[in-house]
Amino acid sequence: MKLQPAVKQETGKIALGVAVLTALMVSVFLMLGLFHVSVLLGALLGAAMAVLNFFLMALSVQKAMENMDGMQLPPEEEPADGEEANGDEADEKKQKPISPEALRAKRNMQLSYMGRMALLAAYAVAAVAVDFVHPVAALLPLLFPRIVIFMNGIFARKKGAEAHE
Amino acid sequence: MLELAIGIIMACCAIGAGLALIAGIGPGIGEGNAVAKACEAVGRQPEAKGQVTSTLILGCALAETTGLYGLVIGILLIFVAPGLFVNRLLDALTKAKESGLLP
Repeated sequence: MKLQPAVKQETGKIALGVAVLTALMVSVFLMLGLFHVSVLLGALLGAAMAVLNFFLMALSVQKAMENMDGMQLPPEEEPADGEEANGDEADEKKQKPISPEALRAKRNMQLSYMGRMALLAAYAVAAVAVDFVHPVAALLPLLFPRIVIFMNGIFARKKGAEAHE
Repeated sequence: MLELAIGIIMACCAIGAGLALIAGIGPGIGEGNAVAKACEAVGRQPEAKGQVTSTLILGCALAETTGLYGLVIGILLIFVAPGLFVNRLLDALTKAKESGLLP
């Protein structure tokens, strides 16, 4: 399976951001005087797991999207003038059954999510159970992708505003 | 009495972990719905595939971290918190005995 440019690009961005934040976390441990080899090992393992989890998720999304290659769904019908309704009735009218391909993609994604969560749960239990890995340093990097996405969003917005000016 | 206190601590940690892990259900459902709608969008507009995929990956990652918060808290409540709380209880009992508050 060939990787899509979007998957490569986003995984690269996340990997870079997670690496920076992990280095920051290790330096905080160092400043607090809590640094140990177990912290470094935990941070490396945690960062690797965070990036792996993101990459596996991106692969699932790519697979779901590739299943739609060659499919041509009809464009959505726009409501005619005067047909616009408000409230729950409009919502009920808008909710159409999803196509079988989309339903299959939905189930595949949910299955993939369960698998990734099981992998991360096993990793988290192992990180807490073994002695040579600091549990906090091993678990904290799993939450870094969210911070990286927020930071990316903020920078993109700033860049957009500067370009607009 | 001490066994009862330790039992209560363990039970509370287990209940808390169970409640925290409920947070893992939502992202799975949400991701599935998002992917289904994105697939339909790509089916209607194949030229927007790259942009839709990029946005979907970031959206799914954001949703998934919510589940991860619950998972991490649940794991900590099961494996770390009971030992911590029991140690604190034992320390408090020792201090109380030393100060003569307990026989």
